[in-house]
Amino acid sequence: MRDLADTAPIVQFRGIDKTYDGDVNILEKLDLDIQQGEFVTLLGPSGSGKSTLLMILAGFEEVTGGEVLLNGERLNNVPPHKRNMGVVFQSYALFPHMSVRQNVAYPLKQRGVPKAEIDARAEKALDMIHMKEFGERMPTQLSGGQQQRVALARAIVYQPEVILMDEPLGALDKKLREKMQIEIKHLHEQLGTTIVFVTHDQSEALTMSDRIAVFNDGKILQIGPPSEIYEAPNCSFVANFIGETNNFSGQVTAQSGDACTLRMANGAEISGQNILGARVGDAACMAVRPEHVKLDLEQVCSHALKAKVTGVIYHGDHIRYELDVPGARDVTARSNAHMQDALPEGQEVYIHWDMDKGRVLDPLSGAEGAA
Amino acid sequence: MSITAEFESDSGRAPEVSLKSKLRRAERQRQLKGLGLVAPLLTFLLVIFVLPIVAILFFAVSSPEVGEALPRTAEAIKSWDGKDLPDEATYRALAEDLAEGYEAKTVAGAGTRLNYQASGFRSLIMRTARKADEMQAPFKAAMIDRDERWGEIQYWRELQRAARPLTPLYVLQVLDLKQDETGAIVSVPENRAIYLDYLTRSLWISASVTVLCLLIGYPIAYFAAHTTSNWGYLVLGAVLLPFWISVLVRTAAWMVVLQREGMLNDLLIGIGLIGEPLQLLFNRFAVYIAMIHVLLPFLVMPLYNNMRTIPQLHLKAAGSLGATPFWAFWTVYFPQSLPGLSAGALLVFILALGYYITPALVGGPGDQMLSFLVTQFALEIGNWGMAAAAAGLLLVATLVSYAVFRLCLGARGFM
Ligand SMILES: Nc1ncnc2c1ncn2[C@@H]1O[C@H](COP(=O)(O)OP(=O)(O)OP(=O)(O)O)[C@@H](O)[C@H]1O
Ligand SMILES: [Mg+2]
Repeated sequence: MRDLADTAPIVQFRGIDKTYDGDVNILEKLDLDIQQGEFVTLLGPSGSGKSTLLMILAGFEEVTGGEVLLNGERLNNVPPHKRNMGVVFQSYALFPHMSVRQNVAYPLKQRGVPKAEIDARAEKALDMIHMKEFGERMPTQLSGGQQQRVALARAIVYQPEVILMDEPLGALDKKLREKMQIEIKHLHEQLGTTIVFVTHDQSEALTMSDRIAVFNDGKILQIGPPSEIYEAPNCSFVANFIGETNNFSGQVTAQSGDACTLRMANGAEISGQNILGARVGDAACMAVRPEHVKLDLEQVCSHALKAKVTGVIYHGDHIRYELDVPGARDVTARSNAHMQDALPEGQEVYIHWDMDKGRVLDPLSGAEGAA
Repeated sequence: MSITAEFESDSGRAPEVSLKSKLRRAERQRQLKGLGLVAPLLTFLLVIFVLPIVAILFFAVSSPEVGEALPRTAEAIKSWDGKDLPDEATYRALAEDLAEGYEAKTVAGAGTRLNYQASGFRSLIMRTARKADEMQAPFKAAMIDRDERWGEIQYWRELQRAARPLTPLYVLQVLDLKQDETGAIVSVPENRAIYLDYLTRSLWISASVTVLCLLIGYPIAYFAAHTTSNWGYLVLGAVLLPFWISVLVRTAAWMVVLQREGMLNDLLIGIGLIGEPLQLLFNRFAVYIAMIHVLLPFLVMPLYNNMRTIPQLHLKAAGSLGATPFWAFWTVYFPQSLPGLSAGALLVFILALGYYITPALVGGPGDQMLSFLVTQFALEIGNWGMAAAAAGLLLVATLVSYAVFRLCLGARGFM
C-alpha cells in the first residue's frame, strides 16, 4: 500500500447525480476522490451504476447534477477526445480493419506525434504486453487474451493521465483472467498511472486494488483498502457481497462500549462488536466469516451455539463444513484440518468465535437474507 | 558440437515442411469438395446463361448473308487478289447467283448486308438481279453495261469482304470505326460517330446515379442501422417499398408527377415559386430522379446490413483515444462500412449501366443509353449484327467496371 494521503486527488466526483429517463436516479449524490497513481476498483452487483460512473469520467455520458474534476479542473463540458484518458472496454473495441500495430499507433496518430516516434512508442507498448511478434496480425487473428492485451497497449501508449477499465477481463476464462490480473498489476507498478477499474468479480477486486469502492444502487457503501473491506465491512451488504459470511439475525439485548449482545429468534444469545452503534431493542445482524467459526465437541464457552454437521466438503487446502444451527440459516465453517481428522456428517458440535470477529451490522434486507 | 547443431536444425525443419504439405492437401480437398457442391449450379448457369450469351455475341461477328445468297460468287472471289477487276468467271458466277437468287427472293438479304458496308449497294444488287437472267457472255461487259459500278474495283472489294463468314464490321461500327477500302481500320467521319456517345453517356449516367445514390443512401442506411427509435424501420420501409412495385409502374408514376401539368409543377406554381410550368420530363433530370428511386434500395440494403455489424462502441473508443468525432467516423467507422458500400455501389453501377425502360420513358433523345441501341437495332431495325455488337459492348463495359471496382476496393481486403 502506498501512502497517498498527502497528495491532491487527481479525479474528484462531487455530488454526482445521473438519470437516464428522468425517473430513476442511477447515481445519487455520489462523492469519490481518486489519488494520483492509485488503483481504484469499483465493485458492485450488475446494474449498480459502475459503468455509468466510468462513462461519465470518460466523457461519454453527461451528469444530471454535480461535477467531475480532473486535477482540480471542471471536466463537465470537455468532450471525450480532449480528456486524455485511456479507456479499455469489456469487448476490447479493437478496430478490425487495422493491424495490431496500427491499432496501437492510432491514439498517437490522432495526437500528431511524428512518424518515427509513433513507431518507437508503439513498439515499446507492444513489447510491454509481450505482443511484439504480433504487430502485423489483424485483431480477428488473435485470441481473447491477446486482443485484451492489445486494447491495453492502445490505452497506455499515449500515457494518459487516468486509465479506465470497464470489466476488461470479463470475457476471459479463469486461468487467463488471473494471468492478466497480474500483468495489469505489473503495468500499473511500472507506469504509475492512475487506474480506475470496474469489476463485479470480488476476488479480482481484492487482489488488484489499492482501494475498493463497493457500489450498490448508485451509491458507494464503503471505500477502503481490500483488507479493510474484507475484514471490517461496515454494513451487511458489503459483508455479504465480498467473501462468504454467516449471518445471525436477532435483536440487541445488551450493549456495553464496543460490544453488544444479540438474541436470535430461538432465544440463543451471541455477542460481537457493535459496529454501527446499535441500541438495545434494535434489530441487527451479526456477520461472521466462515474461517473464524470454530468447532468444538464440548461447550467451551457460554456463548457457543449448538450445531450439527450436515455436510463435509473437501477443497484440498481446507475443509468446508455445512452446519445446521437452530435460529440461523446456511451456516458454514472453514477448517484447515486434514481430511483424516475431519468431523463426520451428523456430528453434534458447538460453534463459537472470538468476540471481535463477530460484527454486528444492520439487519438484512429481504433479498440479502434469501441469498 | 556441430553434429548436435545439425541434428537440431534438422529436427526443427522437418516437421514444418510436412505440416505445410498437409495444410496444402487439406485445402485442396476442401476446394474439391466445394467444387463438387457447386457443380450442378455451374452446369445450370453454363447452359441457360453463358451459352445463350455466347450465341448472341456470335451474331456480332458472323456474316452468313452474302455467302448463302451468292454461294458461287463467294467461292470465286475468295482467292481474288483485289488488284485488278475480277476475271470473267467471277462475273459469270455473280450473274448466275443473282439470277437464281432473284427467283428465290434471297438476294434482298444479301443486298441489305452489302449496304451496311457501302451505301447504294442494295440498289445496285437489286437493279442487276432484276435483269440477270437475260445476261449473256461475256458477263463482265454485260454487267458493267447494266451498271457501270460493276467496273469499279471498290465494290468488288466490299463484296469480297462481306462474303467472308466472319466480319469485324459491327464491332468496329459500335466503336465508331470502319475499314476503308484497303481494309485498314480508321475512324468514321465525325458527323457519323454516334455510337461511342452511347457508351460514354451510359458510363457517365451510371457513375452519376451511383454517386447520388451514395450521397442519399449512406445517411439513410446509417440512420436506419443505428437509431434506437422505430423510425429506422419506417425509413428502411420507405426505401424498400418501391422494390415490390414494377419498375414500369414506378417510372410511369414519375411521368405523372413530372409532366407539364403534373403534380410537381402544380405544386410549385401553387406555392408561387414559379409562374410557368417547368420542363421536368424527357430530360436528364427526370432520368436521374427515376433511376435513383429505383436503384436506391440496391445500395441501402447491403450498406445497412454491413453497418449493423459495426459497433457504435468503436466510435466511443476512437473518441477516448483522442479522435474528434469526424475523425473517429472517417478513420474507424467509414472503412468498416466499405464492404457494404462497395457491394452496393457496384450493384447500382452495373444495374444502371444496363438500364433501358427508365431512360426510354422519361428521358429525351439525348439521354438514351447502350441498351436503347440494342433494342433499337434488334427490334426496330432488325440488324442483329449491330444489336449483338452493342450488347457485347455493354457486356465488356460491365465486366471492365467490375474489374475496376475489384481492383480499387478488393486490393484493400474487401469483397
Ligand atoms: N443508456 C442507458 N439508458 C437507460 N438506462 C441505462 C443506460 N445505461 C445504463 N442504464 C441503466 O443504469 C443502471 C446502471 O447501469 P450500469 O451499466 O452503470 O451498471 P453496471 O454497474 O456497470 O452493471 P454491470 O456490472 O452489469 O455492467 C442500470 O439499471 C441500467 O439499466
Ligand atoms: Mg457495466
